[in-house]
Amino acid sequence: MAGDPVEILLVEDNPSDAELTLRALRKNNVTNRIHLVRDGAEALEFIFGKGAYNGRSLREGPRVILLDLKLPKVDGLEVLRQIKSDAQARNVPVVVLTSSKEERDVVESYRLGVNSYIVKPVDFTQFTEAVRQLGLYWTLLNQPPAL
Amino acid sequence: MRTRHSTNQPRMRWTLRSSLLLKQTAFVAMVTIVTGGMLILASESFARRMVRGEIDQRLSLAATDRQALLQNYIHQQQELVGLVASRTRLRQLVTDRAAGKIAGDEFRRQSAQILADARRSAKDFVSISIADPHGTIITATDETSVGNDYGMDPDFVEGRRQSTLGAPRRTGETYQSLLTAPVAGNDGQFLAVVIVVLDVQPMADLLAGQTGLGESGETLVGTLRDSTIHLLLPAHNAPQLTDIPVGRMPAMALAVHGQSGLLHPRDYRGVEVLAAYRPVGYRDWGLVVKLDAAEAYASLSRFRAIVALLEVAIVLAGVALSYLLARRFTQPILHLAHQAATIATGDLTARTGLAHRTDEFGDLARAFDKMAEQIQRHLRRAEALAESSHTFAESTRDYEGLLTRVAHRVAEFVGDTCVIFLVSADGVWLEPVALYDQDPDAMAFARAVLAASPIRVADNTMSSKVFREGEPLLVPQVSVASLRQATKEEYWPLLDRVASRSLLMVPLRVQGRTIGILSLSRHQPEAPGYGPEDLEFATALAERAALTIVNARLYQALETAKEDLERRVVERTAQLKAANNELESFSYSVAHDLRAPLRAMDGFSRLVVEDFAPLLPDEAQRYLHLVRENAQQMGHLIDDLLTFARLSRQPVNRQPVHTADLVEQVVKDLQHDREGRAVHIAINDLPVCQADPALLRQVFANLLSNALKFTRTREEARIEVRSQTDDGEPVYVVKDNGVGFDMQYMGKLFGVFQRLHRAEEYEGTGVGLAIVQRIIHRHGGRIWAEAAVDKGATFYFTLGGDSHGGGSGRNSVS
Repeated sequence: MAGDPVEILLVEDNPSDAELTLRALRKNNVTNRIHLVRDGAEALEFIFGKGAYNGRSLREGPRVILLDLKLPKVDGLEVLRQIKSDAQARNVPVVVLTSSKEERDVVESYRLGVNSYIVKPVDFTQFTEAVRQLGLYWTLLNQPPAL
Repeated sequence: MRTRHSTNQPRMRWTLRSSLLLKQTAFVAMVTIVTGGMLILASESFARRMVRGEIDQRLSLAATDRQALLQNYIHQQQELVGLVASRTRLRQLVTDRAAGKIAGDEFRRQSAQILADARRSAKDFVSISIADPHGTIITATDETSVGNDYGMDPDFVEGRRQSTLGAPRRTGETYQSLLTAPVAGNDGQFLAVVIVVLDVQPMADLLAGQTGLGESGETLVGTLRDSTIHLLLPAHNAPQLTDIPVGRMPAMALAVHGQSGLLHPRDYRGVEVLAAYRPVGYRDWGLVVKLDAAEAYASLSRFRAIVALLEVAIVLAGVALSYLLARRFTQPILHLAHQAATIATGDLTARTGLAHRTDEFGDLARAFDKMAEQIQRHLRRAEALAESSHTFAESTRDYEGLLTRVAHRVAEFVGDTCVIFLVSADGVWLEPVALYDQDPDAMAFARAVLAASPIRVADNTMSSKVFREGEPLLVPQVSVASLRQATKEEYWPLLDRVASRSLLMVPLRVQGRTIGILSLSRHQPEAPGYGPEDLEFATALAERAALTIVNARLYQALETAKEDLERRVVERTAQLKAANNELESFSYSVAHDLRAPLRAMDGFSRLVVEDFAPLLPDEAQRYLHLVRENAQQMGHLIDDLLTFARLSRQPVNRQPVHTADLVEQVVKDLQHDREGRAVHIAINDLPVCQADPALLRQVFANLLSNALKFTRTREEARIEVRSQTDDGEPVYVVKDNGVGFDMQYMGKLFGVFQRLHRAEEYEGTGVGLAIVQRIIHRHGGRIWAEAAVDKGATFYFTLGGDSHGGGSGRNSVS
């Protein structure tokens, strides 16, 4: 897949959540190129240039990954595990963006090396605030390590 | 034990030996020596007296004999010389010569012939001479002696009056005596003296004859001459000796004074002698026959040697005998001591082995054996009891095995047949539950009979009686007939067969309750009847057996209950696990999936308002607002429910908590809730406690947020957090002056989704207090409340047993 490098990979199976997230990002002036995938398997294919994304290189991004945990096919924690156990992919910051406040999810995510963990609140105002912080976080990461 | 054994025993042996064996031996030796010595002394003195008496007698006899011999000899010689002097022809010649009727030469010729004749007739006559009344030899067989003068010779002088034997005198090697006799003329007038030179050696030899006088025997003949004893004949032991002072020959001194007797003086040699003395009976001559005491008593010293040997032999024999005798005494004592030592080391099987003796040792040994046996029996019983307790205790888990073992043990220890009867569950029957006898036939038979004839508690049998009265029964001697009387008829064959000699029945009692009986009987003909000791022992065994049986029963019941419980626990655990897993996956999906639609509802409602506000009527906007509010309320509910659910899974992680700091932090976090309100929150000193800090925080957060919520209508909200001590337990108190509640709804206060106020008055999910209660309960504490409508509410809670062991509290409990 040729084109401009993808800066944000959003892994989200819930279309409503996806749309709200995109809107919130936009609202907070994060208008970078965002690619949306709908399950864990697709996320892995995108990241490691396999399947539908055969031949895609990590050089083409993403610069950051927003990862839901409850995903069809391959769940978020597994995706995280595979990213963090790959020598190259591990350098891509991963932000878990999930509905779950379950402690075991939080603990496991940090154990696997997540860079940030954000709980999606029900309240849209709060949600927008959370995404705003994410945007801020991403901006701070504007200088990614050389790949 | 071993070491004491080895050091003790030899010492004991030694002491015994030294004290008895040696003492007795020494004593007997001493007694033998003393009595033997006294016997020797007595016998020697007696023997000495005997020997001396005998010697004295022999000496007396010898003296008398020698005296007679000497007298006889003297008399014979006197007669011989008298015969010469009285020869008629000689007298004629002498008469003629005196009358001058014959010439000198003729006279000498004729007389010499007569004298020569006479000399030939007596062989001891050396020469014969005739002296004139003045002592001048006028004729002789030896002419050379004619003219010799004897006028002064005492023997001549004596010879003028009568026939006389003169004292012997030494002439060269031989002793000669002058034998003189007067010659009378025809008319009787004294004319001349015959002088015979007599060889007295034969007499000396005769006297010196040793007959009966041993080696040192000696016969001395002496006379007193100028205070000196002059020996007339040579002494056998000192032939050269002639003159001896009187003091050195007391026997001779007495003899020459005409006395006779016995004397034990020292002789001229200074040697002790035994002597008999006599006067010879001729002139003042004395005779002494003597014997050296040494020789006389020679036989005595031999006797003494024999006696001494005998004494030694007696002493030795005495010592040996006494040693043997002492050994005979000490041996059994030593043996007893040894056995005692052996028993002392714990070997109670040791016996003296002397019980067969009929003497006092036998008595002692039997007493000793009896004692050892008694000790052994007691010890065996004590051991048996201990062992039985142990064995019984070990069998607690195996009820059937236990009963068999008890019967076996009791039969073994008390004998011969043991039957355990236990009362049936309904209390009607005495059931024989275990039976033992060494004899398999007897056991099989007993079992058959017992099976055929059950016993009722109410029966009039001995067993029933013992059971009912709870008192043991001892029948030391039983006749089968009397047994039959007291026993059910069904038992008779058994009784006849085993022919019990003795019976013993003991109740099995535990804590005053009789659970059965222990029935014992002895049927072996050689066994003695039961005694009080057996009763005591059986009772002790029964006590233990009863206790163990009850324990085993309890254990059995417990086991069954436990198994049941375990099974149920496993079941429940599985169910719980399944439920928990379900709940977990449920919570998990609630956490993820339930919130997403709410978020969408809330989010898109918001988007509609944001993006299309100018197009929407106010009413529509208010509805959208309500949609959002409800979605958010639903989100809170989900959050609270998840928290509540999580509480039952999460472990409580107790640690010291500075309660006051924690409360202050919570108050700070609740700042938002009291903005624009007059709220006074008093936090008094709170002690440090042991609790899970996150959970405790939740408790205070919920209680304080409630307090803030329900004081909303008050002009000034007053909230107080403090602690107090009830019965030594710290109690935390959160008090407000809010709207309170009716105490009749107290039961609903801590229920999930239970609300005491309308939602439009006071928002909330109805889960907060349920969460608080669950946290308190998980800490092992209690929570309760006091309130009245419009009078505020006070919540009290504790944190369980060791919650307040936190150390230095700011307000430590006094």
